[in-house]
Amino acid sequence: MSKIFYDHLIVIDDVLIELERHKLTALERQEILGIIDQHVHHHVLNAILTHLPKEKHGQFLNIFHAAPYHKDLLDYLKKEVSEDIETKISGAVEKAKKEIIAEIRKKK
Amino acid sequence: MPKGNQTTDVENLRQRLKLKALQSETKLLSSHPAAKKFFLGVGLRPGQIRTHAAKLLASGTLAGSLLLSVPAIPILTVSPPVVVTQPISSLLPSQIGPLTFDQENILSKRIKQDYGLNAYATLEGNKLLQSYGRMGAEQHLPRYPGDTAAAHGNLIEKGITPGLGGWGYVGNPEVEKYYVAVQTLYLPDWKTRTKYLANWYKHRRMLVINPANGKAIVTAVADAGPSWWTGKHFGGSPEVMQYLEINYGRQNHPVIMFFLDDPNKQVPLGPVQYNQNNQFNKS
Repeated sequence: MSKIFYDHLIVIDDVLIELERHKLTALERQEILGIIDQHVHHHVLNAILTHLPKEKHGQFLNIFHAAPYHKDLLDYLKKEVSEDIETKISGAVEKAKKEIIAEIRKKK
Repeated sequence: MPKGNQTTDVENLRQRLKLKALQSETKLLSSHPAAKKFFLGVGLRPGQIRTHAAKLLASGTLAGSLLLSVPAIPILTVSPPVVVTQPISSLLPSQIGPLTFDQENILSKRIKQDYGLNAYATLEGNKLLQSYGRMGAEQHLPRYPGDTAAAHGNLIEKGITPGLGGWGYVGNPEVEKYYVAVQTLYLPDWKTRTKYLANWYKHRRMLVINPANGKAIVTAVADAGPSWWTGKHFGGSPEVMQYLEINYGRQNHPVIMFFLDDPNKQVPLGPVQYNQNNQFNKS
């Protein structure tokens, strides 16, 4: 179990409920959850970098790459981002989830 | 639904989700050129960060020097050099979490110095997700069919688990008395190397230290857990919790958990103490 510093802001129960309807095998479920995880991370990273000043991008990415799970990263973002970064991350997660759920619900 | 149609639907869903993930990756990298350059430079795709985190946690190769090169952000503290008079807790970071390679090495040296034992965070290429984490209280484990809490004779009020330990009936009463649970299920290679890892971890000797009081105990892995959502990283038998004096309050206290390098099992299970001759002995 690996953790990313913003994992506590990711709640995807509603996505899991939608997935249940597809009667996936364990392997299929694992693969699809992996793809969903990637999609969510793209959205979250996009939100972080959008709100973090550009001159801080290199520093943040270096630290994020070195210790993706470190809780101090959130404190760092809170300090460097003028808006409420947790709300921005949660919003990005919601947006990603909506896209995923829409895809799951599509017939074909 | 016929099996063929279901398979097609799943494949269709997989493809559509992959496309969405690819689109969000493209948007991320095109919107943030610095990120594109960075991820290209480290040879990682942004969506693979969880896999990357798992590898870091498993290998212990935290880029400590990289972190420390950014003075504006006190991510991890530098461990002070080993000095006998310092308590072992002074060698640990202020926050519970994975230790750096350097921190683990310093702790190994200190353990050798204090207890005369060879203990490491990585042994034979194996490593837990955390070697410094929170330990929670476990119940007694069944040693054989029909075993009861009362039959354990000590700390019977702690009860006995309704199910078996992660490796079935424990058998050996000493192993049960001094058992710990570790989160093997969350090891990144658990699913691909289950048989090897299950065998390697079964009754694996672990040195557990309470950094708050310096008490140390040799234990054996006999159960898997706790679940990640408990906020705990290890479990300890009633006897282990009692000896370490972490059987109070919410029973969720920080400990150091290192592999004991003792291939011939010469070090007995149970409490270890440091004496004047730098020999451990049972208390």
